[in-house]
Amino acid sequence: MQQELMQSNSDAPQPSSLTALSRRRVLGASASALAAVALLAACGDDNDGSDGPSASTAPPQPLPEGLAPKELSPIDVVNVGLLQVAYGIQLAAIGIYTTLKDTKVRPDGTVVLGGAVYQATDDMSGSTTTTTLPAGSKALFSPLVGPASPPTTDNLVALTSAAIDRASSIHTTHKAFLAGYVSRFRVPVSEVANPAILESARGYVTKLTTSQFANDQARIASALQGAALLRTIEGVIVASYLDVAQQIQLGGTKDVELPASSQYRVAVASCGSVSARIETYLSSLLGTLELTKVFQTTEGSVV
Amino acid sequence: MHISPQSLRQLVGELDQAHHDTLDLIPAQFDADLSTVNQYATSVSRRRLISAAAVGAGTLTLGSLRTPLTRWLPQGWGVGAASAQQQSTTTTTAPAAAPLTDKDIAVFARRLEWSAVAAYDLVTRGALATKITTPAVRDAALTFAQHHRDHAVAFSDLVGLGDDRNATAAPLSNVALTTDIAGQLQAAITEADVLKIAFELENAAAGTYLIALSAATTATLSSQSASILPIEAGHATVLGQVLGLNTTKLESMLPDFDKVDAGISPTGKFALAVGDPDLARAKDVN
Repeated sequence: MQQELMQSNSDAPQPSSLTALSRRRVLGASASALAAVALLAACGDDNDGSDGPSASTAPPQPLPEGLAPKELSPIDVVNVGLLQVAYGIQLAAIGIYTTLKDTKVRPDGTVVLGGAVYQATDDMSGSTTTTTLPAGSKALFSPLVGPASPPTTDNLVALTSAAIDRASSIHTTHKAFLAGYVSRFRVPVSEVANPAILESARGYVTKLTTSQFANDQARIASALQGAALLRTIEGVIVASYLDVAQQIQLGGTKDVELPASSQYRVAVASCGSVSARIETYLSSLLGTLELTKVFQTTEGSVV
Repeated sequence: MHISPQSLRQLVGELDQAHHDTLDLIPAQFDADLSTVNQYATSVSRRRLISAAAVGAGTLTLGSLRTPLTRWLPQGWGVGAASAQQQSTTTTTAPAAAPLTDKDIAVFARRLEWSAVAAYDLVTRGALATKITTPAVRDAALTFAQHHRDHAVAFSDLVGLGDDRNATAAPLSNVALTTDIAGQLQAAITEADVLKIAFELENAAAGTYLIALSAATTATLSSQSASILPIEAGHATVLGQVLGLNTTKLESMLPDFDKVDAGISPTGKFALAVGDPDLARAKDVN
C-alpha cells in the first residue's frame, strides 16, 4: 500500500531541486548575511521583542569596513553571528511548518495560508496570500509525491501529522534555546527568518497549500507532499548547522557569564543532529521515494 | 517489525549514501579554511569547560530555557574522584582530571567505533547471528557496521594509525565497552531486544560526538565529529522506527536534543587504558 502511495509523478518537482535552488539563491547572499548578522550583533537593531517570526527578502547589508564592536571580541562577533544565523534558520523552519499545518481551504475555494511568515513577506511585496481555485479543478501542480491510486487508509496521514507536530515542537524548542545563547551576548535577537529558506520554499509551499484533491486522497497526498518538503527543509538545516558548527571559533570573550565557545558548537550540532533524525524519519514515511540524500555534508548549507 | 523491509532497505540506502558523501567531503572540509578557523583557536575553552565543572557551574543557565550548563557536560567530566570511582575493574584508566588532548579523544572515538563494529558483527556474522531473524534488519545492521568501520578508519587517518580498513574489529575496539555490549547482546532474547541495545548504542555514539565537540581544540577533530554525529543520530532513528517507537515513544526517537550526557565519557568507565599502545603510536591532531 505504501509503495503505491509513493509512486512519483515523473513531471513532479523533486525536493532535490529545492536544494539546488536553495543553494543557488543562498550562495550569493550568505557571505553578506553573516556580515550583516555580525553587524546586528555588534550594533543592535530595533527589535520589537515580538515572538512571531517575520521575513525579509531585502539583501542583508555588509558590515562596514573598520567597524568593530566595543564590548565583544572579534571572535564573539563571529560566533554570535553564526548563532543568529542558526536562530534565523529555526524561524524559517517554524514559519514553513506553521504554514503547512495551518493552511485552510475555504468552501469557496479560497486558500488561506497559515502562519504569519509568508503573509509578512507578501505584505512587503504587495502580492496576495490567497488563491482562488477553479471549481472542480484538479491539482494545480504535479504533486511531489502522489498516490498511483486513491488511498484507503489514513494511517500514514496520522503518522505524518504526528511527525510534523513533533518536529514543529522541536523547532520551537530549538528556537528558544538558540535565542538564549544569542541573548547571553547581551545583543538583541534578530527576529528575521532566514530569507533564503523561505524564498526557496515559497513556491512549493504555495503549490502544496493550493492543491486540491478529493477527500482521502487529498489528505494523504497533502501529508506526503508536506513531508517531502519538510524533509528537504530538515536536510538544509542539517547541512547548515554542520556548517555553523564548523565555523564556530574557539576563544573569544573573557566574560565569565558566557559559556565556553565550544559549547556553541555543541548546541548547534545537537540541534542539527535532531534535524537529521527528523529528516530520516520523514524519509521513512516517504517510503520508496527515490531521493538523493546528501545533507549530512555542508552541501546545501544556507550559511 | 514496524516498517516494511522494502522501506527499511530504502532508508538504509539513503543513510548509506549520506554517510559516504560525508566521508568524501571530510578531507576537503579539513583543508578548506583550516588556517582561518584556527586563527583564533586557543585551548581556553577546554580549560574553562573543565574548571567550570569543577567549581559547580550548575548555577549558570543558558538563555530562556534556564538550562544548567552542566547538562552539556559529560558525567564525571573533569571530576577526578567521581570518575575514578567509575573506573572499570578490568581496565586501568588514565587519571580523569588529566586534560584530554585531541589525540586522546580521536583515539577514544576510534576505539568506540570499532566497538560498534564488533557489536554489529556479533549479531550479523558472529556467535549471536541467530538473534536477528529479519533479513532487512540484518542488512541494516551490516550497513551500519560498515559506517562505523569507515568512521573508525577516518579516526585512524586523523591520528596516523594507518589503514586498518580490513581489520578485525574486536582487537581494535574499546575492550571494556565491547565486553559490556557483548554481555547485553548475549542476554538479549528477541530481535527487538538486540535492536534496543543497538538503538542505545547509536544514541550513545551521538552523545559521544557532542562530548568530542565540547572538548576539541582543532578544527579537524571538531569537523569530523560534527560530520559523523548526524549519521549516528540517523542510525538511531532508523532503529527506533523499526522498534515502533514512532508510534509508542516518539519523543525517544525524536528527542528535543541529542545530549552530551547520553554519550560515553572518555574520562569515565570506558576511558582509555593507561599505556594504551595506540595512544603511544598516534600522532597529534593538527
